[in-house]
Amino acid sequence: MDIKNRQNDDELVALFCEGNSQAFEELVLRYKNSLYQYILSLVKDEGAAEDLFQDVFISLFKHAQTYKREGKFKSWLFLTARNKVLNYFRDRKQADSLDKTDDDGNAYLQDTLAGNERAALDELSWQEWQETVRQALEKLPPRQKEMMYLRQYMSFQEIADTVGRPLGTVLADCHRAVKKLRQLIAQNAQEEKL
Amino acid sequence: MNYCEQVLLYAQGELNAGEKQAFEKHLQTCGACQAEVKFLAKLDETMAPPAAPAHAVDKLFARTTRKKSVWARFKWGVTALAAASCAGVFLVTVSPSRSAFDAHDLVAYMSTCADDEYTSFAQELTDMEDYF
Repeated sequence: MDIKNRQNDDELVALFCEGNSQAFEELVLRYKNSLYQYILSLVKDEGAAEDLFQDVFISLFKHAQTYKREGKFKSWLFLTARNKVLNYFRDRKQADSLDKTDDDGNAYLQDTLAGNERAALDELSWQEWQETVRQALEKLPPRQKEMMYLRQYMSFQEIADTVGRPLGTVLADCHRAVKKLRQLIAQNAQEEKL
Repeated sequence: MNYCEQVLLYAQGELNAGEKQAFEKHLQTCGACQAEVKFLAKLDETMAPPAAPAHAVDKLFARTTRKKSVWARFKWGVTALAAASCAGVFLVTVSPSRSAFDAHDLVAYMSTCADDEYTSFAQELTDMEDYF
């Protein structure tokens, strides 16, 4: 069977455990972009991100047997990456940086923008928008930023499995993160106008 | 959970068929949720992951699935050494300082050199094996 057409990560891990190196390469190709972006978003250093990226897959290469095939490969992979990043920070005495957060309330997204902020958002060009989003993401507390990136690659349940928090907490964190991001983008857009 | 609270789950495609249908009915009349869905879609487009650096992926494969054994790497060294030895012998034997071509001398000279090279190479090989 053509390996690329296999949709199931667990099947690929099983094949790799039987000695099929092509299965390992397919898993790398499947997750390389999202995993690299996730790591880079946390460490903000391209060299370190590349090293950690390789370390994660080398861990898989060496310890694939330890993965219990329960359909949660993506969570397992990102959890490995998260632990590697935490160790990286721990080595630099910044272990708590991922768990810092702000004191935002729980208001929901749609209640948080004034009318003039909404208008400023709509007037941004695509390039301005991309740059504004990039800057705003950097201003988010680390935990909220992590949520925003993880949201791109996995379901909320998978995020909960990866970060080891209840689903409800993850959803609330994501709501806060989107709300904060939207405020930051709108503020930035307004400043640009002035 | 009220409908507005489901906007993230809807944008993420994580509502079941019934919930999705109910939310979409709510969406038709809720401007705030419409704006939120539009914002999240635009955000997802902006945050699409860039390609991981190709050299990092190549390096990874070189360290895992395409890793060459010590012997495979050593073989190239041996081949290069043998080629260099032959080239050296050839250059020495056909150098302009030799006044005339003498097949017997040449064969005798090459045998000596080859023996020396072989002895030296065999010793290197033994040293390498001991090392690894």
